[in-house]
Parts: sequence; structure tokens; C-alpha cells
Amino acid sequence: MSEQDFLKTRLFGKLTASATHEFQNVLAIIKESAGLMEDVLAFTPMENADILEERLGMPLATVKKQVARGVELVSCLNGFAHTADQARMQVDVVALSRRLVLLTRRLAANVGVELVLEEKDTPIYLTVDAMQLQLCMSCALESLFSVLPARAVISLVFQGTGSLSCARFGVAHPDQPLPGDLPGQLSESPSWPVLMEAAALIDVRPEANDTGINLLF
Amino acid sequence: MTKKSIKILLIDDEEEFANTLAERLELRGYETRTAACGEDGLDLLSKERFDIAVLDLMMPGMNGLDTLRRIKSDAPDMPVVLLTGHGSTREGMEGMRLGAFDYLMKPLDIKDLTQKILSAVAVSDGVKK
Repeated sequence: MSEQDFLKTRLFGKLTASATHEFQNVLAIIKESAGLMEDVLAFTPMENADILEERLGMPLATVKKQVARGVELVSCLNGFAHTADQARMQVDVVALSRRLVLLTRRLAANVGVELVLEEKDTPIYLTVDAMQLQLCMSCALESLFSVLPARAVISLVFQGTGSLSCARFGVAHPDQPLPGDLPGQLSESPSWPVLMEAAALIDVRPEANDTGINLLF
Repeated sequence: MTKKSIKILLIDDEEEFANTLAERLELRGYETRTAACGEDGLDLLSKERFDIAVLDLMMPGMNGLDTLRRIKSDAPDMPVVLLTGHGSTREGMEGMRLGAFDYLMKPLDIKDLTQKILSAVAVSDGVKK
């Protein structure tokens, strides 16, 4: 990455991280305000308290549930933004992928595809240009989105102990066969040449096969 | 020490957050004072007795870690619970290295906060005895 490209990426990351911090504060204020309303209902003796609790209980629970949803998204976006801090850094590939999957879920839903990440008990560390790695993973997902039918499931699985040897984007469908000549269709998708070029910069080898895409490290 | 007699100094530049949280702590029987910046917090600390400080790490001006250093310099026995944003665990760990009792991530759960407060004050009382 050129110096100017790195500076642009870092600026984007820095401003995004700063904004997500503000979002966390906004969500914290909303959560505490909802909590205070619950407290007032619980601690203040009043007539018809049961009716009030019944009427307000559900909307207050909704506020808390949506705050939790917002916190999860904002935390992922914050973590993603910080991957632009340095040109090379040590990352836990599983944590990085967890964030990427959550942030990509809406794009997957737009084409009717479900994303699943296989959780691991232990981190898998890699010293890499983290933004470049995420570009590769994102291109692999976009290639799959462009060829898979609705209701397909993409499972992201990591192989390797201690260090990463392969990130596997395996595909399946609950009630119909996968497209014929999947490797050919993938390699003709618009994202495939971008993936190949991006992967070469971090010595990753993409491989399309009958069951999905492997990124070999 | 019972929670009725615990006096909390809550330092956070997000005043709506601090005031709402303070009210919730008051409803649970804790006496709580708020300060909107590190300097105001240290000023209050020099004038009043507190059992514990709850300190936001990300503040403009004197940031949370600098404020923590000053608290630990002026009142070494004062337990401090830090508040960080999600994704700021590194700062939380750094705060613990500087002597903070523990850290919590915002938005927080009030039960987690009150448990931390009780634990921190209990440990602090044990050390003083």
C-alpha cells in the first residue's frame, strides 16, 4: 500500500472509530434513561403501579434489546475501524472475522444468503495488513453472493492451530443443489479478479472449488 | 461498610449519562456526586471524603488515565472503577496496571457496577484494616 493510500485508510478508520465512540455514549445514555424509568416504576410507590409496569414493560424491554443490538454493531464497527491504525498488525483472525461477518450480514441478507462463522475456543493470530485481509475476505464473500441462490448458507471455517493455514468459505443449500461448475462461475464473477489482486499483496492464494472458496495462507 | 454509607465520585464528561446513572445509584442507596471532567473530579476529591471513584477513560482535556494517575497520587487508597467503551479493553488493562480496581464497558449493567463498587470498597476496607 502506498503512503497516501495508507493515510487515506487510516483517516477513514480514525474518524469512524471516533464516531463509534460517540455512538456508544449515545447508546449508554439511552440505556441508562430506560433503566431509570424502570427504577422509578420499581422504587416509587404509586397507584396503579401494576398497570403502568404492564404498559411500559414491553417498550422498555424493546429499548434495552435494541440498545444491545446497537452496541454489538457499533463495537464491531469500532474494531473494524481500528484495523486501519497500522499498515501491519497482529490480529486474531477469528475475532476479525466475527466482526466482518456481523457487518456483512445485511449485504448477505439482501441476496437471501446466510452467513455462519465457526467459533473457535482459541485465537488464531496472524501478522498482516489487516485491511487487505478483510478486503480479500469481503471479495470472496461478494463472489459467492453473486453466484449463490437465495437461502444458501456460507460457513466460514478456519484451519490451523496457532497460525492460520486456510480460511474456508464453504457453501450449502438446505433444499437445492449448488450451481453447476461453481469454480467456473466464481472465477467469472466481478469480484474474483479483485480478490486475486488483493490476495497476491499479502501472499494469500484463493482457490475456488465445488464447495466454495478457500483462502490458503 | 453497607451500601447506605458508600459515597461515590462519578467522573464522566457525558453529563446526561453521569446524572442519570447517579440518580439510579441514589435510588439504590448510594450517595453519589458527579464531576464533568478530571479537574473537577480532583477538586471535589480534595474537598470531600469519597469511598470510591467511578471514572470514564475517554474524556477531553485531562483524560481518564491522567486523572487516574492523579487520584492514585493524591489518594492512593481510593478504589477506582473505570468505564471504557467496547473495543477499548487495552486502555482498561492499562488502567488496572496503574492501580484501578477493575473496568466495565459502556453501556453498562447497573448490577455489574454496584457489584464492582461493593467488591472494591470491601477490598479497600480490608486493606485499610
